[in-house]
Amino acid sequence: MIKVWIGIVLCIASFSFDALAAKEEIKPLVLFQGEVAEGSFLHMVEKGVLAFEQATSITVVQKRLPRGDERYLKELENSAKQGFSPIIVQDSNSLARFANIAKAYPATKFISLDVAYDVPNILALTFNHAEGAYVVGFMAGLKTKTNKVGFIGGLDIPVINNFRCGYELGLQQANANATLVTRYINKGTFSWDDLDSAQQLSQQMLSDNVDVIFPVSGMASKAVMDTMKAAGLQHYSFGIDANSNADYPQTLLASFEKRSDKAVFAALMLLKNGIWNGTEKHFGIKQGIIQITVNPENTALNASDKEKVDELITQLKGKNNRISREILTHCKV
Amino acid sequence: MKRLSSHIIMLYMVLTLVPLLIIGGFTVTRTYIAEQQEWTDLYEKVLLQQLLNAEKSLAEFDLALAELVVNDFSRLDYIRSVKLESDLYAMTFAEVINTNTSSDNLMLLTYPIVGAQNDRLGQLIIYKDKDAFSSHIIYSVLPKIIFFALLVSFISFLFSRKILAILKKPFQDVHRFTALVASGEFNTPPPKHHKFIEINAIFSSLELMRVKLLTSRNQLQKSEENYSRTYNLTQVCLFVVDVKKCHIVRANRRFTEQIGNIAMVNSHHASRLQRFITLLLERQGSHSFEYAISVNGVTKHFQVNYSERIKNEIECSAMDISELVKARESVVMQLQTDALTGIPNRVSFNQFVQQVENKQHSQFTLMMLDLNGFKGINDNYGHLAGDEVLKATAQRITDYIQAFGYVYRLGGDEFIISLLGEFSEAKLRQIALDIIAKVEAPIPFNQIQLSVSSSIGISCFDERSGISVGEVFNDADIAMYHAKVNQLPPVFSTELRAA
Repeated sequence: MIKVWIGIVLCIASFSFDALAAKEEIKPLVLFQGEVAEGSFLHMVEKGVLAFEQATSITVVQKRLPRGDERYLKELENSAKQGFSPIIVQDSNSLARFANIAKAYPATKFISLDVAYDVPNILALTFNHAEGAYVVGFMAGLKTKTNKVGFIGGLDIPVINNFRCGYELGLQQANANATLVTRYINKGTFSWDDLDSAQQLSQQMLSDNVDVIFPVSGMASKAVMDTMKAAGLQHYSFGIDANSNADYPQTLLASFEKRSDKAVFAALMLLKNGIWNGTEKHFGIKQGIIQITVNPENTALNASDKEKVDELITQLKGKNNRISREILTHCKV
Repeated sequence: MKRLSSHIIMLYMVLTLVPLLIIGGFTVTRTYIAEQQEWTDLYEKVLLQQLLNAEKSLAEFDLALAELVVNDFSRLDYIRSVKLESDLYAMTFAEVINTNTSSDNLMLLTYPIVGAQNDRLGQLIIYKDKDAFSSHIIYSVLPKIIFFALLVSFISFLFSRKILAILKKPFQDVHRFTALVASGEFNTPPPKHHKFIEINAIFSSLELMRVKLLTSRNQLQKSEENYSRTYNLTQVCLFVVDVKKCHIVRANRRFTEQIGNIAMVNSHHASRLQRFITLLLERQGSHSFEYAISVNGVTKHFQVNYSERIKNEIECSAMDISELVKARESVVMQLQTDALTGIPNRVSFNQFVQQVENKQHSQFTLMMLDLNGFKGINDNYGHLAGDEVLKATAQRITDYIQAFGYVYRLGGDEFIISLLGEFSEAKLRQIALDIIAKVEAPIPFNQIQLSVSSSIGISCFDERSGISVGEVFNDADIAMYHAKVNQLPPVFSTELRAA
């Protein structure tokens, strides 16, 4: 009798094991919107895709489209029809109809960056931006002389406001007297590449006596960093998405690195391994996906400042830490 | 010397603390081991559970589960950081750093996570704080130990203080009482302590001792008075000399009267005292001798008796026997002196012979002299005239030879002269002739001149010749007789022998 039972158990076990091990054939695609420039968010996504290709020898088809939501959505639908799965939707922030398309193609897996949907075939890769932004805000609070600190976002959307929220909390923590000035480019999907608007906004802020600005506006952020560099010493900004410290040795305090490449790589591997458990993977400092890299060239940062930043990051990695709780309480994801 | 109080406190504390420390040490060790075991068990338990979770998390890309894994580890106080890394997805799934430990003494533990198909999924990296356990022990156990030790010390201290407080009064009283007794005060009894049997016993004994001492002292005083009276009343000088320091230590009143006070004798007669002490030390045989000293120009004789030497001191008694000596000398003088002529008699000569036999004289000459015509004077002028002749003869010979010899009256009209030392024959003959001449000179007696002649026989004594003194005496006698019979000038015994 026992033998029979063992036999049954082994049978079931081997069956389930086979079921898990059965890997779907995947036909991945990545849809880019806008220029894949060095150091940009899109570039980071591309890096992840390439790493996946290298690791698995599975080709990921890359489609690069110019800016324009309608066209992007159309291409997305086409790709789904063509049987691509998973499809990495790089820019789902402003795509109102993305969820509907996904629902229309339930057999197709979509990987959404930054935004989560309650759709079973969309895997969202979300990031705890506020944690990193808290550290950035803290540094801004330490370094501002005018006690006026700026934030320039690409769009006034929840993802960007998550940055802003953490930034403000960190700022208040370091310097209770500092005030935050917030501006958005707000030109839809074009906002991310709108260097002119970004420059104008930062100039405005400069004339308003703002001396530290954190830009979170894709490629347009570069204009802010340039403006602050042009404004000369004691005017600071931060790098975003990639590490830009080397380009702005005296004006960049730190870079907010968002290792989307790692997240994308992991997501592709996940699907390659046939695992689909949940519709959201959330990454933060604890996963090393959000990294704050202090600019080692910047002489304005003394050892004490660096120590404080290190301490802050260590705190953020702490179990049930005060900062994370504060962020959870105040900032919407 | 230590203070008794601090010693008692120290002793008490040591005797209570040492066993307590041993017990404490044992307890701490046991706690240490138990705690360590507990920590290890807990860690093993968490590890066992979370390795499974880690595997699941890595296999299924479950970040929430990964968070749970690291959080579960971080519950343990001594975990500095935990990180779950995925090899497959090339990223960290979760990391947690405990900020409550700041030690740099960390231990790295890496656990590889292997999947169901023996493929490596990733690893769990744990940093343990090596010091956490010891600091945990220190912070949890040490305060208890310190509190316990302080409590015990405090109790010990209070206990010792109480004991000392009980003992203090009796100790003070004993001290005060013994100080009184030491200063000679025996009349005050010690205070009473009735509270404790032991202490009461001590004071009862002290009281007994005091009474006994008082009685003894009174007896001693009485005996001392008696002794002192005797000591000072005795007619014998009693004194004690320190032979090393060479002075008189003490003496009785008689000594002071007879010789002088001690200080004077010690300072002014140091050399005489030195001689006396040397004599005492060098003496052998009986502990009694005669000793003469001059006090204020008068020679005094003492019969000295002395004790054995005890601790460099000799007790002496000296009885004044000056009168006795004087009387004895007078008797001896009378015995040895011819009553008529006042010169030495036969007894004295016999003593001389004795001296020769005792080898006190190695060379001497004897001259035997006999008066011629003495009998006629006795018969014609009476015994008084004879006595006068004998007196004059004795006086004249004495006057002549007193520088180099002695004259003895052997009896009747017979005299013998002894000349000590070596003389030539010519010199002896000359002396004999001179004596004959002196004797023959007229002797006035009651307006008349008496006259006698004399015959002399001479014999010489030389120790080396082997001839005895008796023979020499005989020889002199024979030679004198020969001279008398033959009416010859002085005759040498050697001449007779040669003939």
